[in-house]
Amino acid sequence: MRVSNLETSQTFISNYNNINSQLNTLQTQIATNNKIQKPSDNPAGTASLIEWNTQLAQSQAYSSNITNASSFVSDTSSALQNIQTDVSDIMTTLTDLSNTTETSNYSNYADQIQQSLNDILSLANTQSNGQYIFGGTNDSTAPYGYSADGSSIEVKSSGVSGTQIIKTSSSTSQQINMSGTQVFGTIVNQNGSIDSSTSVGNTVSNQTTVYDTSGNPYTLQVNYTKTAADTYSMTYDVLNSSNTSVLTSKPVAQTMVFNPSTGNLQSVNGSTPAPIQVNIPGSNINFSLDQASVVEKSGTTTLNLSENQQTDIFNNLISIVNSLKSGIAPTAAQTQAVSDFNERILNNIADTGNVTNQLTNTGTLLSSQQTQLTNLISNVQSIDAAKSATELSNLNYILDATYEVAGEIMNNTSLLEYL
Amino acid sequence: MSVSRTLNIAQSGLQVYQEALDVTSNNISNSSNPNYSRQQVNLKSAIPTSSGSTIWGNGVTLADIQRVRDNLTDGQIITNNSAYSYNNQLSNELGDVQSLFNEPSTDNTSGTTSVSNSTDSLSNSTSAFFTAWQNLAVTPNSVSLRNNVIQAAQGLSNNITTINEGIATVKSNTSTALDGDLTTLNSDLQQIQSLNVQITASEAAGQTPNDLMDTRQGLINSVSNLADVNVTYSSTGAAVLSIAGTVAVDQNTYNQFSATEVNGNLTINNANSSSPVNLSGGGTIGAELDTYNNYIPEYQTSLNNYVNRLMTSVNSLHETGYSITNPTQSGTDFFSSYADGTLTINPALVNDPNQIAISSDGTSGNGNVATSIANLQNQQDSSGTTLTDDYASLVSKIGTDTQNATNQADNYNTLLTSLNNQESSYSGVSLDQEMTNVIQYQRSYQACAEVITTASAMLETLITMMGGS
Repeated sequence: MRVSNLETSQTFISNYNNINSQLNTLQTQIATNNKIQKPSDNPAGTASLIEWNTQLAQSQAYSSNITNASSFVSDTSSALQNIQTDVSDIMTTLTDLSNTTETSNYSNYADQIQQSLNDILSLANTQSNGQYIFGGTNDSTAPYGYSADGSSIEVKSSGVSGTQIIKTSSSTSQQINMSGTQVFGTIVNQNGSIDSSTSVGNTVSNQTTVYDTSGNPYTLQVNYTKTAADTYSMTYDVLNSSNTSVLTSKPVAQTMVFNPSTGNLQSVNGSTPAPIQVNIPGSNINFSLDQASVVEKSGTTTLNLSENQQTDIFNNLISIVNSLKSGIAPTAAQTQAVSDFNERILNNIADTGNVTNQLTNTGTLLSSQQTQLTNLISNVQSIDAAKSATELSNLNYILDATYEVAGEIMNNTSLLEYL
Repeated sequence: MSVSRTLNIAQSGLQVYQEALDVTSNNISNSSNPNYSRQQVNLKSAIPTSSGSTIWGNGVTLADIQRVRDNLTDGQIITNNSAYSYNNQLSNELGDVQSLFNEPSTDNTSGTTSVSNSTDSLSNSTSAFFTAWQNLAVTPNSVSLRNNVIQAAQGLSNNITTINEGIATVKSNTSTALDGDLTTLNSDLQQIQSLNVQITASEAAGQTPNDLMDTRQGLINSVSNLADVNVTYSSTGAAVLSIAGTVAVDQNTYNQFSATEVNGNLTINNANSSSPVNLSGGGTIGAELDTYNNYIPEYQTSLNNYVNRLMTSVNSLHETGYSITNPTQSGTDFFSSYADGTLTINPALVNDPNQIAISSDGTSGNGNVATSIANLQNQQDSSGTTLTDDYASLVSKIGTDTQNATNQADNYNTLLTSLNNQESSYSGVSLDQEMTNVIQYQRSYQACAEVITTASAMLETLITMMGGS
């Protein structure tokens, strides 16, 4: 084959450019430890990296949630344990009281209980990172405080029953707070179903008994009046033994909307259903009405109100202190209420322990998931250092050889050298 | 037979080998000229004369100076030039677009992918945006976390703006490059037509205008870099070029091309017709047209769909939430608009992050809406794709298009290198060969001169003899 001088130089330049381009790519890969410098290096790999990086970022966000929540749950647990210590002190005091007939010491006992009550009140307003941990979702306002006349303790915010839920994975969530209602208050559950065939204008009612802090019974009456398909106007009233309302002002009717296909309660006044806080300081009544379980079904109407009410601890203790200051021993019901509260606190402490364990376990799973994702990313993106170093060495050798051959051919191999 | 015949025969050799050395010298001088075709001296015997039964040779003459060229390889080079230039230019243009996305994003310090707070790419800033919502959901009334959401949204918005501005710049540069290429094309066509006139005139006069033909071949190659061109040669020796079915140049005329933008698309017009010509698919001009009219609009649409989906889905959830202002507010959008490549955050929220509405029931500690917004990244739409899927598809599409163009360019480059070597092997100058010719012609010239010296001596002998008698 005939070889022209231009062909010789063009071939050298082409080969040199080719090798130099490979060297440049390899050097960049080694310097950055990344095989993929741009999407066109590996389009499918780039798409996978974007997906995995997103999953990794989300997983890290869930881990961050768990870290932040763990601190919150830990503070909750500490507060509950301190409350339990105070309640234990009160129970000891009450036991001492039951063993004495000396009413002159009642004032001292009252002072001890008052001190514990103040501690519990302070702990009920504990903050974690600026959040009132027992404030439900109204966590920016101190939830509990004395009434204006100092005669009772009342909820100072608009409600203490909200739940704080964090995402711990794309499909799982975890409630991290103990609402004030769960710890200190009362919940009345409305269960059962409303007949969907009820005509517009018809009212369905249900009643149950609730108690004030002294154990006096009241009647809670809840009425549902159908206003449109799947829509009801709900009102409630609290009546004393004389069948007279103790509400100073009638509550505003709330609009309840049920899902037409599932029958589940969809919204209350356009918002996600949440317990209604019923707080009547003048009568020392304080409970939450939870209607989340009410459904609308065709057929028989069976509505039930069930209360798990226990006398709220604050006003029960105020009542005990007032009685002692008047030389009256606490009633058995009042003592039992303190004992019940102690048991509830112990259960709550156990619950927070479970939440902590759950968060720890989920955190471990997330950590494992992040390791797997990091490995996947590394497999696609990171270079094989030994392989790359060998390739680099080989390319340098080829480049040296190319220079050598080019120098030999272009400089020395010519007829001109012999003329 | 006379001594003077001997002198004439030797003199023809001196003249021819002098001319042959001129051609060789020209070859050597052009040995590094890539457009040059080596020239070859073809010799033939002079017409002999007869005397009786004997035919006497009359020396040597120059038959012609041949331009050594392989037309078949030339045709293949022109075809592959166009395909290579198209893919190479497309690879460069799309490479510019893909670099705007800065994917896959990496942390240079560790060499691993960075996913934490880095906002150097749209995927990272999107993740940072949704992570900020996730964090806020845990502590909904935290003003600092609300500020983090605003900052993450601004980082996301900045990235989107940067990418859109970059795409606009690539489009603008592509249009400028197209104008430059059309100017070169028009100039080349004009020069080819001028050379056609000179070449046909020379050939009509029986000359072989080799250098003019080389210059024209170089211009034809230049045109084939710019557009997909079909080349034929008329019987008179004129090169006839047609581009996209339109005559670009022949012996008497040349066409001129220009670009205009109609409805956001670039259209190529030509001076010979009112109908636009389709130059896409070949040469750098084709690559620029396809980039401007097809690839970039497709990417832009995908990016806009992605941003609009993100904005709409975030807004639709944010509208349902309540702020932690007093009184609470609801029904507000998080993003106020996405227009002209800019995603704008509701200024009211930027001024007062407490207006971020993430409570589903109006209480300050409720972050349900923030949780829902954080989940959007994984939420499938009616076609079963998530936001991340949409973005990964877009980046992957750009990467695949660029990779295809690059691979095609590499393939055509390999083929072109082979064809150019083939052409160079045939038409290129070999200095060794030329030096061999120099020696050969020099020796022939030397021998002819020696014959003349001998003939001269013979004449002198004769003259002396005549003078002596």
